[in-house]
Amino acid sequence: METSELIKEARQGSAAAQKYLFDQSAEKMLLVCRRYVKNTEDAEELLLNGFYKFFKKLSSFNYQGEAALYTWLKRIMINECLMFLRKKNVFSIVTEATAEETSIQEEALNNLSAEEIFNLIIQLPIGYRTVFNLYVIEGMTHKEIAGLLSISEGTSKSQFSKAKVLLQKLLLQNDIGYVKRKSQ
Amino acid sequence: MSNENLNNGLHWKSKLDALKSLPAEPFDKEASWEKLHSRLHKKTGEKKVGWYWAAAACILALIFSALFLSNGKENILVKNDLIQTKPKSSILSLPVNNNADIPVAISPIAVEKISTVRPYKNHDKMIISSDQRSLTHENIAIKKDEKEFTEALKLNNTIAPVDSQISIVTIIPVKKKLPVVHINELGETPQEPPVTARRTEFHSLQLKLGGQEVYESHSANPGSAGFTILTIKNSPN
Repeated sequence: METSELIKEARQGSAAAQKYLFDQSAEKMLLVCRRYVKNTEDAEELLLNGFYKFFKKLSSFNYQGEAALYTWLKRIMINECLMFLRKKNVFSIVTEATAEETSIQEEALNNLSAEEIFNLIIQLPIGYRTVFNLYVIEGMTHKEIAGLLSISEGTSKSQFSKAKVLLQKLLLQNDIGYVKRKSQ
Repeated sequence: MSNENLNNGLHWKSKLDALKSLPAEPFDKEASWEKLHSRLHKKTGEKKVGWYWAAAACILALIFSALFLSNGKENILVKNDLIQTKPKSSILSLPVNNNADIPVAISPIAVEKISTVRPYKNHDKMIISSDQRSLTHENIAIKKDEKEFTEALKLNNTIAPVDSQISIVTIIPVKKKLPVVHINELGETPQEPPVTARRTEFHSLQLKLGGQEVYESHSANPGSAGFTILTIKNSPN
């Protein structure tokens, strides 16, 4: 069955169609949520909240392909995560600071696998991690991030800078293979 | 390395998108679906319950508003009764015991304080109650001062009393002229106190405050004891 038909049936309240759509993208969406929040329990709760909103708002969604559907669902999940973090007031501790340039080894980072990248990101503190996710993974500008998190553009830049420095330290601490490769 | 280079050069987004599941973190898809499914159907039930609560609240509001309105009508009726019994005249002059020579008048200021007139248990008496005092028309006369009294007389000629329950009689005070007797004509008769002081049934206490004399008058009628009236009279000096 095609995705467009599944969406039609899901709009009409078909539990089978809804379950199929959930099974298709649940794990990917859980990864997205897990990148933003600290533990898996919170990520699962946010995943369910996101899917609940997705099915409720499905009638207003204009299907234009699977990529659009995935992007829309991912956007819902990210919004849920940001709302969750805002409720926990994690952005209030973010202070403005001068963005410092870092000499992160680009080649070393390019050689990281997806799992290594994921494990590095979830080790970052919430403030750094959120800005890093939104800037590097979601491709937002600092201006957009500042508006979304109710912080200044400079704060967003400084948070990203600090995130990069911390990533470098984490790479050295974790003694990941690329360090060995680099030292050789 | 600039931020833009990191964003575009690392291709972390594509790498992370390729990741299928959480590394080393199990995810029970079926259990999550069950939770989501139950929540999707549970919410409709909660909405219905919410409607029931809203309906119950509306019914309660209607009942309370009806009760409130009925109470309001009763209050209006009570108010109307009070308005009917309230004397319309601005001046109330009451008859005085013939034995007393004290003029009777209640000034408009005093009348304003009177809120209701209601019959007393004893039908011979009519009690005019106010928030400050109770008066019986048989034995009470209040005269604030001469100025108010003359104003009362003027108004009394122009405004007719309306209240039918109370017989309102205006009595113009009669000034008694005492005969002038020389002291030698009295002979050896024991010296009598002045008329005002001699009539102890009316005046037992006599004070003089500034240019005014204040008398404490006892009730002339023994049946209506318990009232004390202070009468102020300007001294001829």
